[in-house]
Amino acid sequence: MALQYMASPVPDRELKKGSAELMILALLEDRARHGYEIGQLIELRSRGAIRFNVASLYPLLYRLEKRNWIRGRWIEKPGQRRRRYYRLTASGKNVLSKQRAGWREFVEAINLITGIQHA
Amino acid sequence: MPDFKVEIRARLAELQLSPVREAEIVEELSQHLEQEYERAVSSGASEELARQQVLEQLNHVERRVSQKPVVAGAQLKTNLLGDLTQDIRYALRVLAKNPAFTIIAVIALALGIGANSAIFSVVDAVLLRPLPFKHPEQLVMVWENAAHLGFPRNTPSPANFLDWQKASSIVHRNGSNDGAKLQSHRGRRTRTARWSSCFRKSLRVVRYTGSAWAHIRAG
Repeated sequence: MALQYMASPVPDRELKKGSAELMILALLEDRARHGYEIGQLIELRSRGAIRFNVASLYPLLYRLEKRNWIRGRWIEKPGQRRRRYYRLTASGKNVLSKQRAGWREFVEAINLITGIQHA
Repeated sequence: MPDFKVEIRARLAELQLSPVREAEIVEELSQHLEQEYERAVSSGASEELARQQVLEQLNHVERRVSQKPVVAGAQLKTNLLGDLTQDIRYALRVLAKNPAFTIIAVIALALGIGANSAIFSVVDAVLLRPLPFKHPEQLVMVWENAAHLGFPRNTPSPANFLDWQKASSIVHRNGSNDGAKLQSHRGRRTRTARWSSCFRKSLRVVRYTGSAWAHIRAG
């Protein structure tokens, strides 16, 4: 599986697979990022609960690129070695919008069923 | 800093990627691993431990890179149909390239199919299909033993048959056919036969002309 959950019981695999795409697309919404930065942001924002390793993150990035949802490009900045930055494509923005809406509905539905409330 | 590129290349080798694509992936992944390594070392891990931890991340990377997106139900169907179409095209190409072989194969198939059809037609007519009579299982052929005349299995004469018919209490209805012959009738060769009055009813044979010999005798 693409994700490693460091704490709490491990959620359903399919659930994680669907959310991994959404997380990456969402992180690329504002600006282009390289793979290491994406992995670090996911770990940081999830407070260490979700962590990608190399064997999970890059194959997923390549799949998203193949679907034309993101596009990778080598960029060389002054004083740094070149890195491959990924940015969201127009098609990726549409997918992100739909996945967000779908995920929100799903979470709300689960909340209604299980009675989980925000603190 | 350990050289992670060698390790990555070794794992990607079986994918047979294009050199450019492989070089890009190796560069991208090695950059990531180097940063992971630096972070582990700065967190207090020994160089060897950091190297091992980083390399662990590469486990099964080759399998995941080659993994295609899964579309439920579509993958298997596409492959099956794709293989079938490919096989048919290959077979047609081979046949077109070898016309002599194709002709021999077609003739062999035609002969085989024809022979099978002929055999099945005979088996069907002789063994499978019931005779076109009411009770075919009750139909028997009666022979007369005339061994003293040199005919151990002789067709009985009409008179003998009528005597047997009178004496019989087993056979429900019997008939007799005295054999078919070709006779000349008004300059035309015609197939004729002699039979008893019951014969036609038993076998449901349509009479073209004439009458049963039992009636002639009675008359």
